[in-house]
Amino acid sequence: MTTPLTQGGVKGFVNKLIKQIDYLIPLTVIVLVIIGVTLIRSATFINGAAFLENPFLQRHSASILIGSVGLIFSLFFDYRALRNYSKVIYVGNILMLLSVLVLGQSISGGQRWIRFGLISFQPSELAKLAVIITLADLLAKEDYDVSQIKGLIVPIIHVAIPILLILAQNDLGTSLVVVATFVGMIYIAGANPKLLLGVGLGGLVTSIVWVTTHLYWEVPIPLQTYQLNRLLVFIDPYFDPLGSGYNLIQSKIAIGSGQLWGKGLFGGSQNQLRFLPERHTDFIFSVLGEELGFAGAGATLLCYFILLWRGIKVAEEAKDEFGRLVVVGILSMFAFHVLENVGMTIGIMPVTGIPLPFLSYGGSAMITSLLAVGLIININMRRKKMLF
Amino acid sequence: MKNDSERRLFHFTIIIVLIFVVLFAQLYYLQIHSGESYKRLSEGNRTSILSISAPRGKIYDQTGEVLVSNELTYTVSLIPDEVNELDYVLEMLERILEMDKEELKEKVIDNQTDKLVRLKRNISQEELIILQENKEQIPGLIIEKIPMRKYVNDNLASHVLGYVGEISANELSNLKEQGYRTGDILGKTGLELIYEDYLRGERGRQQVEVNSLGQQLRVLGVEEPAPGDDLILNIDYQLQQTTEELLANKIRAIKEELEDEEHPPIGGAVIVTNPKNGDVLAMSSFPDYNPNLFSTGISRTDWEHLATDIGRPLLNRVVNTSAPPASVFKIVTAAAALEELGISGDDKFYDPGYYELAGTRFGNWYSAGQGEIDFVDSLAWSNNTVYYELGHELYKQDQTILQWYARQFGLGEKTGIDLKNEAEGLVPDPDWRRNYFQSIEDRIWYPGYTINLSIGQGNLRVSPIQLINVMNAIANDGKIYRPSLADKVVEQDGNVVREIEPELITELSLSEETIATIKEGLEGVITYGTARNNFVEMPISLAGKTGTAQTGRNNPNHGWFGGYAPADDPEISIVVFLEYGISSGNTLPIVEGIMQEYFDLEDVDIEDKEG
Repeated sequence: MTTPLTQGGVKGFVNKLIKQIDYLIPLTVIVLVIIGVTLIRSATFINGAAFLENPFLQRHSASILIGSVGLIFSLFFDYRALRNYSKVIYVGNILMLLSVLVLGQSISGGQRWIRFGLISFQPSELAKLAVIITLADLLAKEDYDVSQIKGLIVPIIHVAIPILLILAQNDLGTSLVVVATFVGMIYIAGANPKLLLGVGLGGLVTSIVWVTTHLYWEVPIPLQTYQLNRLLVFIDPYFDPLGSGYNLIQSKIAIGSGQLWGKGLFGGSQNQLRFLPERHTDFIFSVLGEELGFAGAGATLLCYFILLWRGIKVAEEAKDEFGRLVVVGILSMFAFHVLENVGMTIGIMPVTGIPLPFLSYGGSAMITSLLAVGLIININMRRKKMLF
Repeated sequence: MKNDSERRLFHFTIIIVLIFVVLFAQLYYLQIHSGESYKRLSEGNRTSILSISAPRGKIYDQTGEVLVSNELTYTVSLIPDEVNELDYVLEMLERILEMDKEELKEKVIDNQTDKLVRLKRNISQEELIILQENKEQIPGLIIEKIPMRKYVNDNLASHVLGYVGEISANELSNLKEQGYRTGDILGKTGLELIYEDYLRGERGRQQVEVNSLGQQLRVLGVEEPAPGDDLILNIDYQLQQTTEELLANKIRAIKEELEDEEHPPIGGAVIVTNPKNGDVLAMSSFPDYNPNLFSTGISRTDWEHLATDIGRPLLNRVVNTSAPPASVFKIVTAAAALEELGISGDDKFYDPGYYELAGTRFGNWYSAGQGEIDFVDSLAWSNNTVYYELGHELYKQDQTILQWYARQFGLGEKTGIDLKNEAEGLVPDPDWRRNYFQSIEDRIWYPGYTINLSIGQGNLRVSPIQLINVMNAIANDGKIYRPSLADKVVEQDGNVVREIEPELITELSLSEETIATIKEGLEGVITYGTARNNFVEMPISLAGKTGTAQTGRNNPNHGWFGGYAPADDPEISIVVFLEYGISSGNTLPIVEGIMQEYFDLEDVDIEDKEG
């Protein structure tokens, strides 16, 4: 285990970094963060207030600063060092999630927050990263043959504990993110595709049957009423147009009315007239679609695509299995976030409260996302071709 | 292994690409393919201007008692633009509001000028709750709190106050330029109609955010409505109430005493004014109605009930009907005779019980005849024979001289009181007969017609409000002021917008002697003449004239009384009219009750002194 500092000093390290890394990755992230800040400014626009007088922008900027410093700082350390701390990370994560259940604060239906003095933190965000790192470590050991059902037992238990704890916070969205991450990682680790497909389809059918029987025969279901309603309005938004369907209808109106070029920043009537709910957090994409149109929304999606595409490249060139699995985990996480968040705003996914990476207001998510990108860059700069 | 790993990453890439293809496709569908229709939706999603009805001005009596006010009620309205499935929504509302769907549909379709259609006013608490619960299923539904006209004392002075109602299509096309819109409330009858311009006030507006589902989200701005100006009446609430009770009780009492086959009285009218300025202190017409029924939009059954009632409760019998005034008209004949025939009060006449003209005998009510009788007593006793003779003498002098006097007193034309649809009445003369009838025989004016006219019979038609002018002319030494219900119009801050000054319509060119002689006769009516029994113990002097009008073979007579008090310096004048009230005697207890109320006298049992 060597750190780059011992080999060429900070200057040499920075030089190598600049030469070696895929600059498209930080670039797209910077673009996305700028788009996010602009949209949050529009969504929380306060007449006459200067940029930093807006409390949302204050907090958001602080999160970006903390996340960026953390990101840059993390690059000085070889990602492989994380494997040494895998157990600590895993246990710490579980303790953190447990503490939310005991001490946490409830915000709109979910008990997800924990306070440290002035700062509220959402451990389930960081938990995603913890699961990725520890699962990658587990799978990279190759102690278990994940192509067999038997070999999947330990990895499943490994992720099931944090998933259940996150579910206990009523955070269905984040649980699903972890599930998607898990599926992505075990597939790359060699899981049987037929098995995954079968389990996936089986799960889908089970869910549909469960919800249906719940509706018609009141079979018990472990879902809150609002979560169930979200599923139902996904099928028909006018099932509850002013309740759960309201967000969806308003969001589609906002995005659709943006047309090709949008109504211009600060020009979205749905946004500015406060028709859009959660417009600076979960529904930030609706503001984007309304104010910057298909052009702006499409460009943003393209940024995500570039990030994921370059990320896959990093996975391919990763020095070790651990690095590859970490990258795939992070990419699966980002991809699921984008699919679910953008999908719900345009009506092709049910509404669950998960943020859009780099765009949505929310400090924990922003810091987590930046640290995740840091990991990708870390793995990228220490890839096989790079000789230390 | 390496190949396998690369293959799996390739699959991973494909899934990522698929995700983005799906997202892009849906984004394209929403923004490019359907962008136009979403844009329309978002525009409907912004603001809507709704009008706020102004509270109408209140109506007070002369003592400051509130007669008409406003009450906040919940009204159900619909924004038709927001409704996709009108039939479905109307069916729901039909069930909740218990209104006919077709009726609701008509309202929605008729609506042209406003965004909002008022469907039902003053909904019940129960309906309100049901609507609130189902609001989400009825897009475009708006529940507003709006002022509703409230007639504080229900039926009291209903004919004077009138009622309000929703503007009709006809009215709308006439009044559009004055800013009226569909669903507006305006005065339909009575003072509500006459003083509409003052009472209506100015509509306010509010800008509300309405989402694409027609749900009102919040109010962005309000332009407060300007309430209408208040109206202060000459009517005295206490006197009005007493008058109405007296009239209604008397008519009911007459009905009860009737034999089965007899024709019951249908209605009656009373008016009390101040002869010195024309102020109307009380005006009541029986039967009456509750104008509150109209405030919320009258129901079909209520309307049919009112419209088909033989008593015609909506009719103001003081102003809008006329009938032969019978002997009360002798005041006019007396004035003409005193002025034109050189008669004086103590001139003697002889009554054999009838007056004969060319073989036709015109009978007195006392067929044995009163023998020798002087002029003043003939008025006090209402002696027909004397008036037949006077009428014939006047006819011989000029065929239309008696009619000329009648018109001088204001008969045959509207008084100009502040109410609509006043009856003109009729003063029959040769010209009228020539124009009105077809056959040659009917078109000739015979002297017998004037003889009949002289005692107020024949084709003469007089409304109670016209008769009050006759009484006021005598009481006020020839001066007739226009009867007036309203005193002034006052703004909300108390500023007087319009003062309705007493208006002298005419001053009769009668000599002092003539008026004095008539007054003497009218006082005689009360002290020793036809009405002597009723007012024996009355401490305030009264002068007046009774009249019992024949109405045809099978119908009972109309009862009339016209008078004023105190006789020497009149403060009030009174006319009572009982349609098919059998006898003028029935009017007297009403007069007595009014006197007691106005002059604050001890209550004397009216029933005791009857008969």
